[in-house]
Amino acid sequence: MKRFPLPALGILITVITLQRCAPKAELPHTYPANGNTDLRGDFTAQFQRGEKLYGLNCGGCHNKRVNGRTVIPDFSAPQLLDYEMRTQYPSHGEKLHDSRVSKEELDDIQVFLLHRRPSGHPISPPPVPGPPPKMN
Amino acid sequence: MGRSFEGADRSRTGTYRPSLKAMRPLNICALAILVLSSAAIAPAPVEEPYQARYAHCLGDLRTQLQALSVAIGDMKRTDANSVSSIRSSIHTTRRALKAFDLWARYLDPINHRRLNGPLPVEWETEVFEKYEKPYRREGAGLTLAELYLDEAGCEKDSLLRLVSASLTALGSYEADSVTTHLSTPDHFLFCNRLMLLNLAAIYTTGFECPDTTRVIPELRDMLAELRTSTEAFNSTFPEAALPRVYAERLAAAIGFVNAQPSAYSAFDHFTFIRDHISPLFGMNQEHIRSTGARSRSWMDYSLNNNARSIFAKDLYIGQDAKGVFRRVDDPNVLAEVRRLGHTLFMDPLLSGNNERSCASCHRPEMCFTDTVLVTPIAFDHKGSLPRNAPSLVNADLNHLLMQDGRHIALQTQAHAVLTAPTEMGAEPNTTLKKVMDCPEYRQAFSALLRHTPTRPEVSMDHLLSAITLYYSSLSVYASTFDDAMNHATTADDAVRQGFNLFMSKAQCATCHFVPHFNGVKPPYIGSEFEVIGVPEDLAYAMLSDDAGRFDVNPAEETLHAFRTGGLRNIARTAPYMHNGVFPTLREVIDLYDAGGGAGHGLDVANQTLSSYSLDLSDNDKLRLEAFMRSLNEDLPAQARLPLPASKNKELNARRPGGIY
Ligand code: HEC
Repeated sequence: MKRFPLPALGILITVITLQRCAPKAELPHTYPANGNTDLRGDFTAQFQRGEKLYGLNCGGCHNKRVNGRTVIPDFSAPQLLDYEMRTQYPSHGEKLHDSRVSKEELDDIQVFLLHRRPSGHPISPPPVPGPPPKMN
Repeated sequence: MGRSFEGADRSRTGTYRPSLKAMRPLNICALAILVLSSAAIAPAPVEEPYQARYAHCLGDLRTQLQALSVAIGDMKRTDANSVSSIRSSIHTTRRALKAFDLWARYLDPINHRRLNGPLPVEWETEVFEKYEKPYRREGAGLTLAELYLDEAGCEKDSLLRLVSASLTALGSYEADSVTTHLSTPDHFLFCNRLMLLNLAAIYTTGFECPDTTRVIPELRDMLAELRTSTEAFNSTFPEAALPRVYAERLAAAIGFVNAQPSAYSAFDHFTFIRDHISPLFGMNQEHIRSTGARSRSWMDYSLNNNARSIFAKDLYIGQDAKGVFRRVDDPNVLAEVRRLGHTLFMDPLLSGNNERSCASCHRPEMCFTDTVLVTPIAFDHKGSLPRNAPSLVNADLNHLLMQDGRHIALQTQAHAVLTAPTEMGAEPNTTLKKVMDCPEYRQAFSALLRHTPTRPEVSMDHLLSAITLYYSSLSVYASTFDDAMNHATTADDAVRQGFNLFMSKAQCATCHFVPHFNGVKPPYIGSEFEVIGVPEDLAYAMLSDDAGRFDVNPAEETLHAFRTGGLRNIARTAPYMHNGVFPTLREVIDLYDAGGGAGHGLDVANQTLSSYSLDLSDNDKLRLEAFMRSLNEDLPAQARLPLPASKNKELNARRPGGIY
């Protein structure tokens, strides 16, 4: 009996895996309905920057642990106040100062948060930090 | 992306913002309605001493403003007694305002300006307006009313309008969005902090008190009111009460001021700030930190909770000097960024002709300006640039950058200079390529990429951010004056007297604000622009024809206006003014002494400086100079860094620092 060549098996598996992955390769966001299609590339780049920046600047306080997984909660447009987020939510303080997150970066983060696929987990504000422990 | 902003009509506090246009024409009938309606919505009685105190001060101010409005309605312009009774009514109302000021400024800064804005027309920007277009707003309030009363053509209706606008603005302080702050203690510490800072920088200088004989009497009233409010706070919020040492220091401050002469020129501003206000500020800061109080106002958003005194270097979290490296905290990485910034600063490779570097005009041995050339030579060597190159030491303390406030960020400013055909004549992509053709730069910047995860490739922004971080790190040592204010050294008598003059008779501090002595009003809001009538030459033959701020924001008020410069290291950065017209500080002082360009007989229609002489004696001038010299900071020694070799051999003959 002729043996099935191993390389062929490899290719077969790869093709099947690729096909199965195809739907996942779709972008993890929805492009604005009225968006200019010429700007799709810019939008994607901004979205991806926003994703990284969210992780660097916000995730530490806002992400949730759900069944052992890290979940990004769903922020809504009225909650995202552009640069006024810096002061409207007092916990942000220096953490969101423009020497820490620039206005452009906040815009990127907003694009990410508003266009990503919702996780289904509403934002519940993280516990407000109390006064620092007393010295001496 | 983000939201769009309507600028002028948008209230940033979420409280309502009345339109001034709607107020006019305001007749007696409307006034009556106003008086009645505001009486009808008086705040409900409250039990706690603190809230009661707030309601009392607010109510008192309203009553006074109403009485003033009625008095203005009855005023007879030609009757001197009638006019002088209006004046004294303004003074009584000011007193009520000073009691309420503690809250007014912090809880609703926009409406505070309608209670006591200093300018007839305001144009400029505040913290977050950095991102918005400047818009024009009519001034209102008591300071303007008093000034207007003295004008020959003073009209009843216009005077009434200034006061009515205040009365309307007062309504905001009853809105739930404002009063909700009163139920918890945090806001008080921030209100108090602003108050203390302004006691040092604004209230003792005559900035908002046109009748300077009243500056110290008003200060006495204000401190007494502050003490009463502080006591009310302590009793309502015992868990957040300020410590007893604070109350003692406040009492000492009151004792000090009461024992001082009433003339603000004889008042010891130096001791008042050093021994009283700055320590109170430090204790309040300590209290903010230990109680974990958090602010929610954009007003004090740049005030650093960790700053220990008014004269601490880190008082403001100012410009973003780190740029793309903004989230880097590791001191070793920052040192590397700085080293690269330093090398680039000295490297003529950055310019279009590989000859000029940043250091060509901002010369490290000359305090990062050029003390020899009046204005820099143009890139093509045909003529000179119109404006003097400023020092870069402490440039990051500015709010808006350049003498016309053209830029809001250090990195955009650097980019603009680099690519300006008259300055460094570079083409950004070529510059980046030239830099990256030096293996040493390439390696070093590539190694930094892991600290800029959203920027996977080395870009111009990486280079510019390294440069801005480099020069923003030059100011590391305190000046003798800061040391004296922080009790680390004592100051010479001449310095103390010079500072006292600066704060009073010489009127300098009404534009060069404590503690950085630049035009950034505490707590780091807006860059102020002034028209002072700088001449084209020393003979005052004509006004400098540089349009200044007008180039950026054309308006009647901005023609020939320039951003108020900082005075740190000023003795080392001659020549002075936007065009470098004055070779020494003495000529600058003489300009002010004579009442600016207008005082020198030039036609400066919109001069913002009084055209009267300050009447400074020679001795006064020497002391002012002594004070300014005490603002010199030692600069760290600059290492000589070799320039990285380029793959392009021709470029390897370039000299660190470049040539002109
Ligand atoms: C230091 C931790 C911290 C960081 C970092 C942080 N947040 Fe928050 N945020 C909070 C807390 C705590 C609250 C709850 C409100 C409060 O007390 O300030 C909050 C509130 C909010 C809200 C309002 C939620 C509501 O219920 O209305 C939004 C929106 C928000 N944050 C967005 C962000 C974004 C976007 C970032 C990153 C740019 C960020 N936050 C970074 C701690 C943080």
